[in-house]
Amino acid sequence: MKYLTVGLSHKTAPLDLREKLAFSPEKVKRGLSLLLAESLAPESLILSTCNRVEIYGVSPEPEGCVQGIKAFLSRFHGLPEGDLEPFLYERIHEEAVLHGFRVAAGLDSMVVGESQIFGQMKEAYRMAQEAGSAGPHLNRYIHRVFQAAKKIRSETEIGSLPLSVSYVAVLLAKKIFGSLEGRKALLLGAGKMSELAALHLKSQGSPPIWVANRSFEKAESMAAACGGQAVHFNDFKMCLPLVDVVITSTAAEDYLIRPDDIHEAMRLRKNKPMFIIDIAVPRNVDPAVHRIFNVYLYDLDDLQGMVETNLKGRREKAVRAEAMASEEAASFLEGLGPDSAVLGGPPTAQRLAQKFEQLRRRELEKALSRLKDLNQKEKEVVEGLTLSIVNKILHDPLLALKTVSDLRPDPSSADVHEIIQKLFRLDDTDDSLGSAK
Amino acid sequence: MIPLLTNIGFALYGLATLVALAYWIFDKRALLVGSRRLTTLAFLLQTLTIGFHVGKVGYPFLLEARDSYSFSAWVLAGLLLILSSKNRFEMAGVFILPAVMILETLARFSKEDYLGATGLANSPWASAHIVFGFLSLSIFILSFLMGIVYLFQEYQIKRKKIFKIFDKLPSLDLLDRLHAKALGAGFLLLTLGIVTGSAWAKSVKGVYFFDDPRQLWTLIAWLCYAFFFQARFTAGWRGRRGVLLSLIGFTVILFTFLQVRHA
Repeated sequence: MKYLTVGLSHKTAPLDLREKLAFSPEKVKRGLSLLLAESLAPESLILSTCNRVEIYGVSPEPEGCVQGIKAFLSRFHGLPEGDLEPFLYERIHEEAVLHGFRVAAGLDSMVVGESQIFGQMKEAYRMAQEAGSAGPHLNRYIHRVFQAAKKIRSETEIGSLPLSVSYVAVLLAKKIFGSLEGRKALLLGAGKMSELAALHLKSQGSPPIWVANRSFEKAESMAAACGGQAVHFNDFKMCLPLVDVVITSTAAEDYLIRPDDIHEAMRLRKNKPMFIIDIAVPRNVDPAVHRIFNVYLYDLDDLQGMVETNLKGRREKAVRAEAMASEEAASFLEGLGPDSAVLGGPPTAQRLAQKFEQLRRRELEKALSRLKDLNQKEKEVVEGLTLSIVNKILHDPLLALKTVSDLRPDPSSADVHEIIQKLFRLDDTDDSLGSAK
Repeated sequence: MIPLLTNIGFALYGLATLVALAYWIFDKRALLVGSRRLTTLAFLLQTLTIGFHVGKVGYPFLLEARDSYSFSAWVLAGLLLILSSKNRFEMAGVFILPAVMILETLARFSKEDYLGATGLANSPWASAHIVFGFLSLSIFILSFLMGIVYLFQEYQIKRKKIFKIFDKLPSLDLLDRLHAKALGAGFLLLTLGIVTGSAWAKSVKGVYFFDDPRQLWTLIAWLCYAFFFQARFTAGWRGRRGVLLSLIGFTVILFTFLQVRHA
C-alpha cells in the first residue's frame, strides 16, 4: 500500500479555478462515496478549503490511482481534464506523507504557520470517517499527522506572532493593561479603520467606548454599532482624562492631539498609563506625545514595522518547523516497515489469536454461568474442549501467516494480511466483539 | 542527616536556577516545567530541614546569620512558587531563582554569629524582630525584581524595540501591581521589625533608640519607602518613576542588611 495525494493549492492554481474545484460538505460526502464505489482508492479523504483542494488516499498501485483521481476530479466538477491537468500536483508515498505533515502544520499555507488549516483537516477527516472511506492506513497516518502538527505548533510557537496591524495593536494594549476588560477607549474618526479597531476592542471586552467624528451623525451610527457613545468632535478632549486607549484615524491635515492636551489629561488621571494608536495618514497625534511619562504612542509605521519583524520571526520559525515535519514524516515512514500492510499494534497472527481467545473466554463464561452444577473437573473438561477447538481452527491459518511473513518480499503477502484483517475485523477489536455477541 | 538534606536542597536550588536560565536561552517549555518541579522539591526539602533545625535548636531561633539567610531564601522560594502558579507569570523563576541562590550561598558561607553567645537574645522581642526583618528582606527582593522586569518591559514598549522575551513576560499593569503590593507588604513587615527591634532595645538597653548605625540606616530605608507610597498616591508616580524611586529604598535596605552591623 502506498500513500498518495492529488490536488491543487494557492501555489499552483488561481482563485477562480480553486473556486470551481471546491467541495462543499455535501459534495465531499458524495465524492468520497463515489471514490469508494468506483474503487478508485480503498481509502480516501477530501480536504477542501479556500486555498486548496486535495485528495489523500492509499492504493496498492498509486500511479494508476492518481490518474483515476485526476479523471474523477474533472468528471465530478464538469471540467475538461486538459484544463485541470497543468494546475494539479501529485505526490506519491514518501512525498505524499511529507506533504500531509507540512499542510497540517500550516507550512504550506498562504500565511505560513496559520492554524485554521488544522481544524479544516480535522473536519475533513471526520467526514471521511462518517463516509466510511477512512480505513486503517489513513487512520494511522492522520493520527500521526495531527500529533505532529500539534507538536510542531507548540514547540516552534510558529503561530504566536501576530501578523496584522490591528492584532499587533491589541496585543500591545494587552501588554500594557493586562486585560482590556473595563478599560475605556476613545475613537477619533469613524472610518473603516476605526470601525475595525472598535470591533477588536469589543471582542477583547473593552466596552465603554466614546466615538468622536467631524460628522456627528456618523459618530452616532458607529457608536450604536459598537455599543458606545457619540461625542461632539469639539468636546473630544474632555474624554481624554477618562480613557486608557485612544485610536485616531481622521483625515485631519494637522495634529489634533498635542503634548499639552495629554499633559493635562495625564495630570487629571494621575499618570495612569495611556495607549494612543494613531493609524491616520497624515498623523493626528504629535509624535512628541510619546515622550510623556506613562504615555505610549504608536503610529501606523510602528505597527507595520512590528508586523514585518513578526513575519521575519515566523519565517525563522518555519525553518525549524520544516525540519520537524520532515523528521516526523521520516519516522512515520520508518514505522511502516517493509511490510506496510501490517499496520498498527501486533502482527496479524498475534491479533487473530487474541481475538479468538477473547471470543472463547466470553462464550465459555456464558456457558459456565448456565451450567452451575458442574464440579471442578467437569469445568476443566469444558474449558479444555473450547481450547482445543480454537487451537485446531487456528492452527493452519497461523502457520500460513507465518510462512507468508517469512517470505516478506512476496508482494502478495501484504494482501493476505489485509484480507485476514478485513475478514476477521481485526482493526477494531472492541467493535467486532460487540457484534459477535 | 540535616547537613546532608541541606546540601541536597542547595544543589536542587542550584539545578533549578540553571534549568531556568537554560529555558531563557533555549526557549524549551519542558525546561520551565522542570525548573518549577525542582524548585518545588527544593522548597519542600528546605521546609523539612528548617523545621528539623528549629525543632532541635529551639527558641530563640534564627540567631545565626546562616539560619536567617536560609529562612529568607525559603520565603522567597515560597513566594516564587505562588507567583508562578497563581499570577500567570510562569517565567518568574528565571529572575527570582538567582536571588534565592544568592541568599542560599550567603547562608552557607556566612560564619557570622549575631548574638548567640551574648545573653541579649533571651528577650522574646529578639526572635520576632529577626523574623520580621528577614521576611521583609525577602519581600523587598521580590518587589525589586518585579520592578526590574517592569523597567525592562517598559523600555521595550517606550523604545518600540521588542525583544523575543517580550511575549513571555507579563503586562506592565500586572508588574506594577506586583511591585507595589510586595512593597506594601514589605513596608508593613519592616515597620513591625522596627517596632519589635526598638522594644528589644528597650528591654536590653533601657532605651528605644540608641546610637546604632543599623537602626539609623533602617530608618532611612523606611523613609524612602514611605516617600514612595506618598508619591504614588498623591503625585501619581506609578510605573517607571515609582520603580526608580523604590530602587533607592532597596539599595539602602540591602546595604543595611549586608553591611551595617549593630553597635
